Amino acid sequence: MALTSLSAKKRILENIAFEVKTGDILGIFGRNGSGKSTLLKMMFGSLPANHIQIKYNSEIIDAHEIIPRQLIGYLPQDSFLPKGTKVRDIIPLFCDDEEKQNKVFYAPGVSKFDHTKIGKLSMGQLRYLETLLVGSLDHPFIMLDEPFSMLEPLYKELLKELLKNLSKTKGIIVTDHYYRDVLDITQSNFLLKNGQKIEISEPLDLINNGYITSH
Amino acid sequence: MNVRAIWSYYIDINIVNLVFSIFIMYLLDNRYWGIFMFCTLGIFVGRYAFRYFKNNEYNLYFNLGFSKLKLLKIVWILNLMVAIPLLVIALAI
Repeated sequence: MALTSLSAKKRILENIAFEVKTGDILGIFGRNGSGKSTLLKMMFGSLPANHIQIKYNSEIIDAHEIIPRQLIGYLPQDSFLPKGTKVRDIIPLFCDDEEKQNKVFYAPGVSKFDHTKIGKLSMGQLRYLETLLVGSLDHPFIMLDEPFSMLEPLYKELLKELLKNLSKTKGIIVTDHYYRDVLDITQSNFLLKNGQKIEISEPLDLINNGYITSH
Repeated sequence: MNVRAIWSYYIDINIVNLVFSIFIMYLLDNRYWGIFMFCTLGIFVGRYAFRYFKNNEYNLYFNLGFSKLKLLKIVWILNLMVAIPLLVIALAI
């Protein structure tokens, strides 16, 4: 999948181009308001862009086709699961067959809270569950907006392992302020600054571009 | 088609829709208006309430392949399927 030439209504982003393949985990960094979430929403098709071009296996796709064709799964920054529903009732919404459901039910840590209502989960448990569910979709690509946010160290390690496993069959885009966790799992990264894309190959690049002060 | 997901959205929209339609029915003292509202304006009232209180839950449906327009069409068709027999019964009584 490739994204080329993109600009938002308020000119938050301009001429951002990148490519993600199955097996890739791409990291996107940027300070608050730099346009990370905007970029993901525009690619997902839930936020209109002035101009966006998405290529999937050489086919040019309109952003509005992403949702109906189920090409990209998306973990938004804020929780998106109904708070009054129990975890065990949410899982079948995402997984239609029993084998897939069992993969989520028996994923490390889930049995601890599978009888709990979504609204009663801790922020970390909720984030972990949401990432598991988005990852369980058949979509060839997934985009995760701050998946490490509020996660306790144990869940962070589980999540990293999960994303590495998912990347065997999917292309993954991750954006998060927990840059060390992101750098642990990504093969390529870039920083969004002043609407432009800056390639990041090592933590020093994040310092040089003013995203962090020291590593 | 993910029936569980559609059912979940359908219930969420129609709880508000039903309250609104019954209110209109009593306000105008006309059951036909109640049925009419249930499959027209009431859906938009329910949709507005969903957007106001649960906007982020749209991402759940997006992930499952449902656009907002597709969800709206499904709710409208299902409500028509409920409203038409109700209308026939109301006319017969």
